[in-house]
Amino acid sequence: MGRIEIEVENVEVAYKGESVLHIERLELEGPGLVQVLGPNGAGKTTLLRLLAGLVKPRSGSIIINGVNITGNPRIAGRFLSYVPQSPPVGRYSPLTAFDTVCYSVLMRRSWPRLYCDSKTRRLVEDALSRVGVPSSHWFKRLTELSGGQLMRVFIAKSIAAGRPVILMDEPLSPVDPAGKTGLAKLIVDASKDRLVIVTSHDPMLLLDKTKTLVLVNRRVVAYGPPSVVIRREVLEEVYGSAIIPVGPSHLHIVDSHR
Amino acid sequence: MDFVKQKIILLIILMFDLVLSLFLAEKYPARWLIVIASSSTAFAALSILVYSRRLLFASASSPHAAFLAAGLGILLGYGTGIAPLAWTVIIGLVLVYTLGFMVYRGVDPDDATSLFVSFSTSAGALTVYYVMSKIVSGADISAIIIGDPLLAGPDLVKYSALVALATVILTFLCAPEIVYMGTDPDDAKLSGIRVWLYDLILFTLIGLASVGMVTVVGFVIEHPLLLLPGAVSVLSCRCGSLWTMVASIIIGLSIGVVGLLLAVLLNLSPSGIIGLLLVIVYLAALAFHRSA
Ligand SMILES: Nc1ncnc2c1ncn2[C@@H]1O[C@H](COP(=O)(O)OP(=O)(O)OP(=O)(O)O)[C@@H](O)[C@H]1O
Ligand SMILES: [Mg+2]
Repeated sequence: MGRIEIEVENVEVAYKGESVLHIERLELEGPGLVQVLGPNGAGKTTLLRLLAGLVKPRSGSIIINGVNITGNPRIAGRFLSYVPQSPPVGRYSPLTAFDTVCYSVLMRRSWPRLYCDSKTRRLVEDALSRVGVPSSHWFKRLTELSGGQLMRVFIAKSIAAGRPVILMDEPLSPVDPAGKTGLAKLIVDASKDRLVIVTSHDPMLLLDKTKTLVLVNRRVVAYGPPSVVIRREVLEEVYGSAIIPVGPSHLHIVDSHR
Repeated sequence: MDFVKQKIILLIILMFDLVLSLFLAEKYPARWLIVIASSSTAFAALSILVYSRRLLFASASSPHAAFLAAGLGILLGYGTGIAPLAWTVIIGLVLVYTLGFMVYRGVDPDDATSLFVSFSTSAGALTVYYVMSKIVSGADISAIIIGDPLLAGPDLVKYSALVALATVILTFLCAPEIVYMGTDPDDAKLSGIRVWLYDLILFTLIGLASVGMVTVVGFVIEHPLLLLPGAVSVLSCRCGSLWTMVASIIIGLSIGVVGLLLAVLLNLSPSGIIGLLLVIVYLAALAFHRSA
């Protein structure tokens, strides 16, 4: 899908007056895989929602391929799709897993979007199979899926959207160990021709395929290729005492989720 | 139950509705049937949208707006000579838009609803009390509160039929977007659809239906009519969103015509019977959902 460039400048995000994320400068370039790391409350989710235009910063701008998308999800959505950390279950929604993916594709087409035609159905079937949702679950309501299955459905949705950038907020956290390897491979594959930005508490799983690491703790502390970013003083600022030195050239980060 | 069986059941119910409607239209004034069928169909179509878009607060508020608007409509109609229905609809829309705008600008729906319901009921009580003592008879007022389809005049008959038709057509055209906005609001924004436009359409339809038809079923029974058909169909239908909507409309229509028949046969309040039937069907759907 070609080259893609995201530039964030002088951004300050605040909730109710309290500043939670400061970014002096952040440049991300695709295709490739970007991992965003940081402890709970560091601002990883905030960063992704900022890039999607879903959070409006107090100041500063986010430019994607020369287009200013700051606080404007409609424009940002031309470039990207977004997988939330805890996907909404739609307690009152009549949509099944299959419908949800199909509608998300239809919404990106022109009006009227009355029903899922056979071409779209094949696209949806393909996306759901690729993320490993068994067909016996396709016609269940979202509320009837497990956390891991729900996450897979939302990943399928983000792939089916066909945009050059995918933002995924802890896509692997709710997934079982066997599923993690499969999904990790899918994420790596997707990052071959797209810019895929994932947040994670388990950086090792994708580390050797990671083009850029972004370390956050209320501000973007450092970003760049893993070999450059992984230095003891940088990690210490982000993770503090959770860093355990293991031998002279090895650090272990204790950042287990939940 | 599989899709095919559910669709066949729905078709059978629809045939039954049509036969019953023919009977009612032959035996009693057709306008009774038209206003009841229109209002129950329109409310049922909106119900599924309100339910999946999680705008339950709006459906709780708009009937109260209707109460105030209908009172003011009579007052202004008397003062200006312009049809009360026109005033009622205009005032009702302004009220419903105000509520929608408050929520759109970030006021918590529960806070907005408390404020809104309190205001419209108090102002409504003042207006209705005044109107009743100075201008009209008690029957007109009781129609606003508990509804009386048998009083419907030619204006209301035409209005109801038009609004029901517009509601059903727009519901089908806009349902995918509105249902998706309720399912995944963030992705709806990212997908590029004009979220505000669909909300505006939905609020307009809720306003037109609940305010304009308030004298048919009364503002009290508008609550279950806006809430339950959607809930019943989402609970009991496993047949994709399009058919869930069809189911909601057929359920609403059936309850409307059966309710009207029972009401005229037993000489009871039509809206009361319709409300009770809705509750029975809802309980049945809950039981079915539990056991399934
Ligand atoms: N809607 C909100 N209102 C107020 N504060 C918020 C809101 N969302 C996030 N915050 C605050 O912003 C900070 C960053 O939150 P964020 O969700 O971005 O962290 P995170 O890095 O994703 O954490 P986790 O690993 O737990 O997912 C936190 O201190 C949080 O309390
Ligand atoms: Mg988070």
